[in-house]
Amino acid sequence: MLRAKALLVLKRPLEAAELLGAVLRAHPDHVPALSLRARAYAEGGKSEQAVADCRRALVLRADPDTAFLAADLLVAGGESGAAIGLLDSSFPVGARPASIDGRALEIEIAGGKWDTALARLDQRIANSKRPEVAMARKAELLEMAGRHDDSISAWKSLESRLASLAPSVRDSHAMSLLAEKARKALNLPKKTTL
Amino acid sequence: MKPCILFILLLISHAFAGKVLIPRGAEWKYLDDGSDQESRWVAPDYDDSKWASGVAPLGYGDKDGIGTKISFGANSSKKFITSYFRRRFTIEDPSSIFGLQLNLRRDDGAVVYVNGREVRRSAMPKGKVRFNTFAATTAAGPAETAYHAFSVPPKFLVAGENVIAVEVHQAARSSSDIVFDLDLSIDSGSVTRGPYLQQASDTGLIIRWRSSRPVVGVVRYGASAGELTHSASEKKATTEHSISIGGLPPSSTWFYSVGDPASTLAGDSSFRFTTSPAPGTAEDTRIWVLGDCGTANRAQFGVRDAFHRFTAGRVPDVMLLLGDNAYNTGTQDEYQAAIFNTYPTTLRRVPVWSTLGNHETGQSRDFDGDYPYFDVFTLPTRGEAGGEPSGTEHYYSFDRGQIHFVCLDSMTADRSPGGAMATWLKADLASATAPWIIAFWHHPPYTKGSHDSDVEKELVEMRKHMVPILEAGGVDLVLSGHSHCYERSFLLDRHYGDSSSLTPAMKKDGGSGRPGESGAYTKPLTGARGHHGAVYTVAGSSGKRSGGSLNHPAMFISLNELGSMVLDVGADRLDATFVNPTGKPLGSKFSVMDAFTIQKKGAGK
Repeated sequence: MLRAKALLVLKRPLEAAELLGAVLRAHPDHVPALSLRARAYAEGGKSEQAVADCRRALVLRADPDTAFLAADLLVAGGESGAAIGLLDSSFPVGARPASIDGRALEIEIAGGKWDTALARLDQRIANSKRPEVAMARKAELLEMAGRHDDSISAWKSLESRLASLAPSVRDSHAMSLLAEKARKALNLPKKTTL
Repeated sequence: MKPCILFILLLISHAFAGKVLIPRGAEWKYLDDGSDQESRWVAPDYDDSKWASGVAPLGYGDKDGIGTKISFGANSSKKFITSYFRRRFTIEDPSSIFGLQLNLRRDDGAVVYVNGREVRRSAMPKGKVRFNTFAATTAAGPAETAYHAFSVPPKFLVAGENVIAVEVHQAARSSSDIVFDLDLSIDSGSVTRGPYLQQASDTGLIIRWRSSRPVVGVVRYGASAGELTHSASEKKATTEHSISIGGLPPSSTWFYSVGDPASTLAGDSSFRFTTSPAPGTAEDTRIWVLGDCGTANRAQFGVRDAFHRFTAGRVPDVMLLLGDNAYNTGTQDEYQAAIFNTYPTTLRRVPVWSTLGNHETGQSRDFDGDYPYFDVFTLPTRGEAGGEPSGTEHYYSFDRGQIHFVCLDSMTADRSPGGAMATWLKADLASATAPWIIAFWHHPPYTKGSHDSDVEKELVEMRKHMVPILEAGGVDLVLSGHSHCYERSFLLDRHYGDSSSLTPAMKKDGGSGRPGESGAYTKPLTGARGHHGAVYTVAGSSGKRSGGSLNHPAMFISLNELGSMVLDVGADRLDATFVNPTGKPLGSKFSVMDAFTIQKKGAGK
């Protein structure tokens, strides 16, 4: 492992990957070696192998950084759908961190996949302890998708939701920012710039 | 060995007595007629109903109090050589224990049997022992009252009723005395680490400890030390214990012990915890902050002792470790010395949270390294104690009352603006509703101590990429270590370049932050309050000090001094104190070398 790391520092990633291959033949489930080889492959331009190692590492031990690396490689290779699939499968349903959903959402928005993005946000709204952030994002997305009336409706839902919160929560920095966004959107119903 | 070190070692490795099966001074059946009982009397089913009964110590001629005087026969110069003793005891499940701890007092020699099989002989000759076999040595002086400790393996035990039988032999027929007593308890090993408290929330926490032997861990807890009416247990035997307790009311105090199904390994009135206040509840909170503490030497102990003198009877509510907790590479042994042997009494009462330092990883920057740190701590990944789930123990957040804590990984995680950590951080802060936000990680965004934030990659990237997110999210205080000094900034905002780029406008308040001087730093209590300023501290001198130019212009004060930070956070006020050890021995006194206050009032715009 140390030698492989040294080779990476020396910008000799494919030699590092080869060395790590020997480690992985002896210990196929060694997550640090898998992750390191994924990095080595990525740096050596072998995206497919890098993604394969990331997938294997994620099965053994899910972590957002590895999922991001694999997703970025897939997006760079024009495989946005596969990237979203990988992100979604990297963590169990119900335990998916906000970072994973956030990255998937970015890819979906970049690809104009409004419906899947909105469905993702609906899921977060349903499952989150603090759904207000996803509610605001949904309203913004509806506007971006050209569904102005739905966007207004979503902002109103958020406004109602915020009004129902306990004053200490409603007056917090985070909720105040959302309230401000909602007010702006409802007073100036033009397309929101993200 | 120095007395303080000896005390700590005794404290952590003391073999706690398990469940007592036969106490000293118990009642025994005995036969004192000098007869030859051959071997049948040791059998479990032997009928001893016609034997006499008496409380131990049993014997005669001893000066130190005999509970039951037994007969030596008619002739004091030709006393009976052998006396016999039997008693029953119950074991529910021998497979769940390691054995028995037996402490035997015998004058002169004895052979002990359990369920008909010899388990120990003491001061007796080798070979077959008969009723007329003399003891090998004469017990005299202190040996007459000494208790000799033996282990009894579980293979000799059966589920249900067991019988222990003891024959005590004279060394000579003219010997003036014999004595017999013993106590028998379940040998459950000892606690060698902890207990320590993890993932504290308003409804529960995780109690962890390490035992010298694999046992099925059990936590017993209750509203008073004498009434541990609840329990939670593991499913299988292990030496690394982790038991989650939930469903408790917020701000409730619980006493607890740790052990196995049969016994308590550790627990007294000092073993207690208090659940966090409910999110949003105003409750004064004391936080003890230690950075780069892990030297396990006089400097670290001095900082610790100074804090204890400062805090006196006020037990902190939270303990934060800023990384480099165990030099040199964060091994289990180094953690044992620098953390568990150094703060045992605090750790059993105060939940501890940590961030990853460069010495936890042995200087590796691999995110997926198998670092012992992640075995030592159980950190939240699913928002177990509040905050947005991060999906990783590398970085996480948690809530306590009116404080939202954010822990970042400045060593191994991707620090880029579009990376997983930054993406999570934005989401976490976007839904944080606590009035106070305190962030901590290892590498300081501003320092001119033993490290330089103008040139070192981790420090630069954290400043450029994480600090803007935090400031937009309304962070109040950022804690870090790495430089082995104490540095504390003005109330800053939007200072993302190197030290030469600091402008007066970036100082939201260029004063001391002290109410008696230029006044406390003030920030809005409610409403949007991003970019109203934050204080940045380097508190990396809790184990050593390493100097440096100490001239970062963002700092109000820079000190090459040992110490730790104490934060007292109330509903609208945060008081921070840097406590330095003084006196001989180091830490026998303390001095406050810096203090500042953040006061919150009014509404942000």
